[in-house]
Amino acid sequence: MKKHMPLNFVASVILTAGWAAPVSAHHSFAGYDMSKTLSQPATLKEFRWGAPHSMVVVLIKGPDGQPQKVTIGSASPAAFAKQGFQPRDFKVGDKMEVTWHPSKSGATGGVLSSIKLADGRVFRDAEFGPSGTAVTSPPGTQGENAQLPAGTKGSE
Amino acid sequence: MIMERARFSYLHAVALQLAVCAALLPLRTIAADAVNLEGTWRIAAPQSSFKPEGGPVPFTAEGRKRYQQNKRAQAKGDFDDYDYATSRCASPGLPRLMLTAGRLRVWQRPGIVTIRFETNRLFRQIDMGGLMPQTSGNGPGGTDEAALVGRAIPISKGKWEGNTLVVTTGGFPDNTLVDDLVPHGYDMKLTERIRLRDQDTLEDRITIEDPEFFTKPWQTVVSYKRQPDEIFPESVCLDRLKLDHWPPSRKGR
Amino acid sequence: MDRQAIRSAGSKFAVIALLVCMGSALAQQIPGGRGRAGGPPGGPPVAGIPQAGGGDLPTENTDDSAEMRARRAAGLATGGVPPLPDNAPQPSPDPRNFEGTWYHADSLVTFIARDMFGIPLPYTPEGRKVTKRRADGIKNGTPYVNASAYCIPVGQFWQFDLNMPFQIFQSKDMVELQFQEFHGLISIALDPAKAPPPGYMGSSVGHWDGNTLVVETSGFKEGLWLTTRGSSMSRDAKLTQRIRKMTTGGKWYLEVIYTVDDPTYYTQAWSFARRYAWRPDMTLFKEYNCELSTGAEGGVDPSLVPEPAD
Repeated sequence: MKKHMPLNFVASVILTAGWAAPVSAHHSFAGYDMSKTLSQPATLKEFRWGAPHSMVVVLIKGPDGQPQKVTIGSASPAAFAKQGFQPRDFKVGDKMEVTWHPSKSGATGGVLSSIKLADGRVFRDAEFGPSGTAVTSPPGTQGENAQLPAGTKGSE
Repeated sequence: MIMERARFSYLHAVALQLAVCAALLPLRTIAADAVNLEGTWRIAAPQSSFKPEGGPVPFTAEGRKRYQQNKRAQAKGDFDDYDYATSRCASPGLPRLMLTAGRLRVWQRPGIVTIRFETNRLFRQIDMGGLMPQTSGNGPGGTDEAALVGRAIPISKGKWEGNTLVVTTGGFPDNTLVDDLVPHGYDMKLTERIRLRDQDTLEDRITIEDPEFFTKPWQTVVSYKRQPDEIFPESVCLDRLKLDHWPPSRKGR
Repeated sequence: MDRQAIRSAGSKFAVIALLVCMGSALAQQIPGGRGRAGGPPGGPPVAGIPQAGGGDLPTENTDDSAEMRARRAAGLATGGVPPLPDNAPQPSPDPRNFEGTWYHADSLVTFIARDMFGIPLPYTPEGRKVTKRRADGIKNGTPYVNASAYCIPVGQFWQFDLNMPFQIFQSKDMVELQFQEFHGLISIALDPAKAPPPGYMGSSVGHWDGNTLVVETSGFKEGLWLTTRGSSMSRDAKLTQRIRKMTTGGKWYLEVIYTVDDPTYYTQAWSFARRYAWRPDMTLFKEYNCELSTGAEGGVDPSLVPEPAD
């Protein structure tokens, strides 16, 4: 049984930021149902920091009552810092409320909308979240340049 | 007369050869450094855990709790719960890499000491000061983000104190281990005192501190024996994991 | 740089310019056999003249974007970094000492359609098939898996070329090239008796030809993607790199001429040239802890398509 990555990368052919998750310079949001938001209490299993995106792996109560692992795409450390959050605010085992937009395919996972920590602070994902400005690119518009790793254009 | 000329041109050839060979040798920065640590080394006594000096690891309550969690996960084989180096071939980070069973090689150059690890082509850099201002380079994952998140192998700062290279390292993440089991957090700081105990023995005395996990700094010493200088065969840790659809030449993938 | 070297470089440039002109003139005159009476459209390949593209493969080398060309035309820095300050440390005056930090500051060629003389690459049917399959996969948004997606060593072309720094260490027995990207390593034995075993980067042996280091690499564990858009080399290839240190316009470069001798994918050997800028300001590397992701369950994008067995 194949586990699906929540983010439908058009091309992860090339890895960029080495310490981070494999990402492409652009990706399609067409794989996620941005109109739907799921919400669950969760336990943090892993916060895989990356740029431009991180992966948040949480354990939630699955439909059968058993713990289910869910991997949710989220923002870069800099984006979290803008809202006053540091990596050490997210410790393995921490309890949190997570809201996310699920994958259209029905596979577990999605893209993050918000995280509410035990101390009450809330991170709202600026890209996918409640006040987000996510641009839903129609399929097929990614173009060849989407395949290039950030950093190779040389224009940064 | 002819014999004389022949011998002279022979000497000339030898001198030229020596000059060419000298040109092939690395830039000699060792005159500026106290000691030449260069060479190929292998840990004298392979081990997966550090042996603390003067008593057991001085855990805080949190440190002991996490250590015991790790031990339970280790017993169950749940390595991906706590040890990504084992489960994923992620970088073991520092100081764990100093326990590597593979060889390591030291290169000393102006302003920087590089330690290359045979295992999985990892390396660490020790900034000795004196390099020109560095650009943050290219692409994401720049120094700003490393400052926020930490690095498994941060860039260390080094200086000579007599015959000892004193190396300090900070800026760690919380997803690596001190060794195979001992936990640490973002605030871990390492101080290493690296020296030649004798021409064939390299010694690294490591002081580990992290107030969240240890009640006080603790020390351990690792020794390495000199090895012949040989190219390290390519080491790819991921080859021991079963990756989907890789390698292409594997039948029935 | 001494006058002799300048003259030598100048005359090399002249030769290359002449060959490029000849090459493109020839290609225009004898495209696909159209000039041959009685042949079918597209015709059989003219003996000795490789056909450009063929099907949908690009006919010109593709660099990363028109923006890069515009930047270069405007005299702006390429590779996204400003030029070195005048008081930056210089490389060793010893022409055989390549030590230090180098960086591909030129625009990235993402598909190689023509060699360094402007001649279209001489694909075998197998070479064309594999290249086209990979190039189409990228174009269609259904890319194939490749080494880079896993953080497995990617081979020389890609490893050197992606705009990330590398550092060279030399001793009398070996040359080590340390790359930021994928924490890559290429080791070159200067004594053929001490050639390392085969690997993803092959096994490399080097010798000096004057002040040029000639590196011969074979024994590749897998075939390579040479570029991000699917230019390819089979595992049977022998790759030669001629590496020399040179200076032009007051800047130092490592010039590398790659020669691909790969009878499986190409009917004859072909060469490509690159240069890497001296960048002592990039000596401290970023960390590339890629396996933290790629070694994880589901860590490699499952939408990457496995390649059919060849």
